[in-house]
Amino acid sequence: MYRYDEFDQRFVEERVAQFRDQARRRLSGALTEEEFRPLRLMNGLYLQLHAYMLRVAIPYGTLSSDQMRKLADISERYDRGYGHFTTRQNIQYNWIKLEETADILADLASVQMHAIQTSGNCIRNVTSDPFAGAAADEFEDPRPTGELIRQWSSLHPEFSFLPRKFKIAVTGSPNDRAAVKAHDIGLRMIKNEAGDLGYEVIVGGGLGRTPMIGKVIRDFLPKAELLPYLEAVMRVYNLHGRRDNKYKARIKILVHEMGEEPFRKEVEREYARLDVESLAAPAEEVERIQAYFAPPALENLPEESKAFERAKTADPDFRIWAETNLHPHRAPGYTSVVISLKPVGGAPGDATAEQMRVAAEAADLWAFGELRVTHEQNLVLAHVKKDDLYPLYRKLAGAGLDSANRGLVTDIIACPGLDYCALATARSIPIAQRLTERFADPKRQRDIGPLSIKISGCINACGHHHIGHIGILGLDKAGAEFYQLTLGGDPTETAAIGERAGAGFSAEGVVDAIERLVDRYLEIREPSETFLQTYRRTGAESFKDALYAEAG
Amino acid sequence: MAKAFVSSILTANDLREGWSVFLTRDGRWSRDWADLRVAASAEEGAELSALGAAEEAARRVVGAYLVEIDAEGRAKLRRERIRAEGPTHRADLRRADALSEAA
Ligand code: SF4
Repeated sequence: MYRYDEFDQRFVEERVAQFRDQARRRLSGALTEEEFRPLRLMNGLYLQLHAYMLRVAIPYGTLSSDQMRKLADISERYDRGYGHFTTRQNIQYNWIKLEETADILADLASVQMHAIQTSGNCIRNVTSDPFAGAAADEFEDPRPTGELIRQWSSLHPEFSFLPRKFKIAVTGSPNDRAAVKAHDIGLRMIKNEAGDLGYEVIVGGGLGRTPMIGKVIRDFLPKAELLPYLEAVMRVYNLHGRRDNKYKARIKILVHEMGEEPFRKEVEREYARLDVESLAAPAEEVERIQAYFAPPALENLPEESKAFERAKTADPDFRIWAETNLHPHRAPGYTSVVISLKPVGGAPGDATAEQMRVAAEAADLWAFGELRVTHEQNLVLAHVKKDDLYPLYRKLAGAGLDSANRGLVTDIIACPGLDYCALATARSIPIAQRLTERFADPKRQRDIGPLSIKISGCINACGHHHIGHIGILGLDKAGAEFYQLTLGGDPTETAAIGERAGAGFSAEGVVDAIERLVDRYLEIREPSETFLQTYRRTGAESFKDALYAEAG
Repeated sequence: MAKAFVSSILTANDLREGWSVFLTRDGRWSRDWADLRVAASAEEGAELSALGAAEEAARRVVGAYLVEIDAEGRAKLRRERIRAEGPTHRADLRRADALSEAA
């Protein structure tokens, strides 16, 4: 894992001191709310529906067990004993006091964490594949790239006042688990014919009001040219991105309005003018960063684990869990483990202090003290011996962290919605709760197979509904909550924006509607076809038919 | 034509603690939706708004605004009911005085 150097540490501590002073001046009256607001937002402190909300960055979703324990402590000491892991691989606390925020930031700094650049029109936390460095299908760990971008973009003076916020995602594997095509910039590591590693550069993806899939503007960018090339993209955006209308200010609109080809040319022209050598990260620095992500010392193990096989036979619940919540590891005898934060009836992505501690302890005992947060709002232990899976599972089960549903219909993504968010038009969490209750039966879930439901409480789409196989958007219709469905969305390398299914549903009706969709899929699927495959084969009509049959 | 005035109460967030609070009849800010000062006319509404601005200037609260209420004295908008009663997804997060399903 990356460790702060002296410069990083000093910088973060200075920011805490600055914020302490700013908060003091706000409380003493030296600063008005108008003056203070941008300052608190620069430190991730929002004012939400109920209280202040603090958003803490978890760079590329990786954190140590000590950091996780600190997050647990903070939730207990300063909040109400829980936190919310978000689709941005961050954590949010919902009940923060202004007068305690500087102390929280100091606690975070003590474990090399902060809340900087989690708000505002800057380059936000870089997100990545939660199985980075472990996945069997990976070319290379994408996190050194993420860290390089983090260092380059942190307080970059030229990019601190962009037309709008800016999100970058990186994947090191051909199977995209970081939704890179739905980001302002997506980087996909690829190998060229000569066998060299580089990036496919995708620009102009995004969700929200105007969802778009990113466009490839460079098929192969040599690794060493990353920062200069990003600099060129950012400059074109900074210069031409719209500042007159915040709904048209994201880079996706610029790429769309300019056209893909002219945009690409503009970037290449800017790139040609840059002093590539002086902007590129020095090789020693790249190596220094790379060294932090050196893989842990894995043992040479046989692929098969007898202990694992025995436990599966002895404990059927464990077998079911192991069938869904493991992800293939590149090393024989190892696996990655998904800790689901989606219990039946729970709020997706919420974890109590105790659960955070149990996850941290499990990481210490069996996963080299390291955890990941996924954009699907779950946790991951990246490197676990198959031999250790059963005791690990038992430990997780003791804290309610054993939901066997990764990738299944109850592994729902949901934003905080109207239960917390000041911008929301409807609630998301209760819909997720009722859906997980409806589909609670483990056998039924597994029969349905891979199916992602994603829920947003407003058009801003923090719940990624456009790229859910089934997306749910909560709106307000004359004072009543009202839910619009989209079908066929896909966050992966075959990315697609879901299509609107037709008229929306009431809060009471939406769970039934989704059950009708799922039943229709079960009726018409061909053997071993997933929901998305069936949808793509048959088109929307057969599903719409099921949705609206009774309405007629 | 000007919209008819709807009876309203005054809400804000506590500046230090952040929690949403409501102005009571005796001029205190309370986390509980109980014994609130109600503006029943446009004039009273303007008075209450001015009071909110003064309370902000006195740095007791931030973001004061009026909330329309119905005949039973509940907030008309779901958003405001949830704000007053707490998140709806966990019973233990509801405020003690939460009377009903916010929905
Ligand atoms: S999608 Fe809307 S309701 Fe949900 S968290 Fe984002 S802004 Fe809030």
